[in-house]
Amino acid sequence: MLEWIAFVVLGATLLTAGWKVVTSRDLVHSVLWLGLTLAATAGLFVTLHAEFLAAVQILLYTGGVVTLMIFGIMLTRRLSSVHIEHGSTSRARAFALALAALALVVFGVSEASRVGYEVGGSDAGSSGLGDTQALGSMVLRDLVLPFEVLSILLLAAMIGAIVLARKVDP
Amino acid sequence: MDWSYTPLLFVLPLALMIPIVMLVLTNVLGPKNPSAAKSVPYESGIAPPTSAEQRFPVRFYLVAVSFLLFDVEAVFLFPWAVRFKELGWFGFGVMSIFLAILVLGLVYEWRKGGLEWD
Amino acid sequence: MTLFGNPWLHGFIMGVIVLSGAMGVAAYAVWFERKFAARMQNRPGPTEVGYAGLLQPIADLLKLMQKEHLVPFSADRPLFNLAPVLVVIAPLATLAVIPFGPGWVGSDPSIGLLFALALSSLMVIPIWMAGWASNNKYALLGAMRAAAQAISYEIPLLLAALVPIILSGSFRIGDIVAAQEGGQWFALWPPGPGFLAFVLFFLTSLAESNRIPFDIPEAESELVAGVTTEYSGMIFGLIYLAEYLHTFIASALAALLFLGGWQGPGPDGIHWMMLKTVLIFATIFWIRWSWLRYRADQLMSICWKIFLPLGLVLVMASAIWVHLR
Repeated sequence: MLEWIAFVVLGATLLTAGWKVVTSRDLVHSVLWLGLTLAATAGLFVTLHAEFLAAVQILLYTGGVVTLMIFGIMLTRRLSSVHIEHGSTSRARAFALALAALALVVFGVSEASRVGYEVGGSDAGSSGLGDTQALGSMVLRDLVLPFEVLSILLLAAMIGAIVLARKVDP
Repeated sequence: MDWSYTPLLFVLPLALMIPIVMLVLTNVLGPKNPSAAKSVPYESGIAPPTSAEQRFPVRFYLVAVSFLLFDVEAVFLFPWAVRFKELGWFGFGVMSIFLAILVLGLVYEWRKGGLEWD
Repeated sequence: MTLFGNPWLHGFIMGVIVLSGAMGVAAYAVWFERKFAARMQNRPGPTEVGYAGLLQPIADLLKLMQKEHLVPFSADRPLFNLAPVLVVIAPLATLAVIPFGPGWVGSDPSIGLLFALALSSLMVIPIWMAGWASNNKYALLGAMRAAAQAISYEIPLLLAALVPIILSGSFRIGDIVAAQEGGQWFALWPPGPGFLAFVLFFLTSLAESNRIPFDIPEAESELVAGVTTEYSGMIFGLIYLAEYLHTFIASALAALLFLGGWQGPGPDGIHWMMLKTVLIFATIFWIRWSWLRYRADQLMSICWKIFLPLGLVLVMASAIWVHLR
């Protein structure tokens, strides 16, 4: 019952905030609504007993990605005292894209439940730490190569950012 | 049912109420004499000559990118930290390589002057 | 771990205790700082309202309540008013997972420490919002500096907090305190990494809560009042309140993670926790009234060139220490 109420409240917040992200005219407002969307997603993770994921969601997305986007907006040129606005008008294309994304998610979820993919077993929720530990084992024992490749990806991202952002070589 | 979050169910609405009640009270108790001079943005007594909107340097963005990358790294450290006894020296080695590659990025950024805040 | 049998009752009572306690603590933290600063500068500080000025915070609150709620005409009105509300909620929600004694905790979830760190890192968004919505040059500059500083120091803070997690093998703050039983405080034992991690955690907490010497976002000599330039009256009071709460949480976390929490010589209990928290809190003010602030560029250099590598070394060193033991 309690979880159901939490789900409805969080879901409603998520949908409203998501709607405002795409309809707000001011770009900064969009980003702030996106922050709320991401925070509500973290709330949903808590109701699904994925506490670690929820904390990571807040730490990385609500804290990090939103700040990154804000800084991105702030470094772009703007006309004085005119807020940056969305230029997107093509609703039909947006609708098609949204449908495609939805289909992808539905396919992913149904595929996952068909394969019976599960992390940490069914009791992960009761101990809480179980899923974090399972995650640790999985990443550092079973998925070592992808994990190390990930660090190369992060390295590439950092080098890319520096190359793009640095001043012209003297 | 997981009971460890019930206090949060009470704290969050109460925490929302405290600042709202304070704002409502100040609107009830405070005077309301708006004037043009009062609502001008602060600029040492003169009307602001330019808008507050300005372009910010790209180094802010660079800081945010570096933050995100090292945040991802820290997030991977957390599951390792509660499990590394079982993972043993192998897990330690895997994590060391992961960190070393990221430190390489930091060194590159340092050498290229990405950390200078001039 | 519940003081009152029924979880609902426990949740409600602890929620009320946590929040009223937080308001009391914040109010008297201001009084404490004013008294403390005054004594350091050889003046008496507040004396008029009540004995030793003890009723001063209440008088201040009443005064702030009776001020006009001013919003500059060029400001983004909804965001301008919303930002201080959000700024206060984050630390108040964090307090719900911080234990002050055995059983004296709102919730002690398995993810407690990470939850507290994530929530307190969230303050950067509403603070930036406040500065941006003000539509004032100084406020916006302060907001950008605050955001850049907060995210930079987030990384060493996480790394420093990882050291007690590695030493105790748990995210649950209660477990971390239990692992320091018998005077094996993580600040003292293991001798090297533990103490350095404590220092790192303390300094990054100072930076996260914009305390001197890391208070460049509100450097009054260059930015008027930074983010709060356009804020006045009670709505300014809210941001001020949040800053004190944030500092208090940082002190409490430092006491829990590195100084053994509520354990001490003699009987354990909430009194030890309060004593340690207040001592760290007082140290923060002591530094505030004796140090100079760093420049913006020094701030960033210290974080990325000293604190971040130090944090990585400490994490690895403590992991090796646990492996070898």
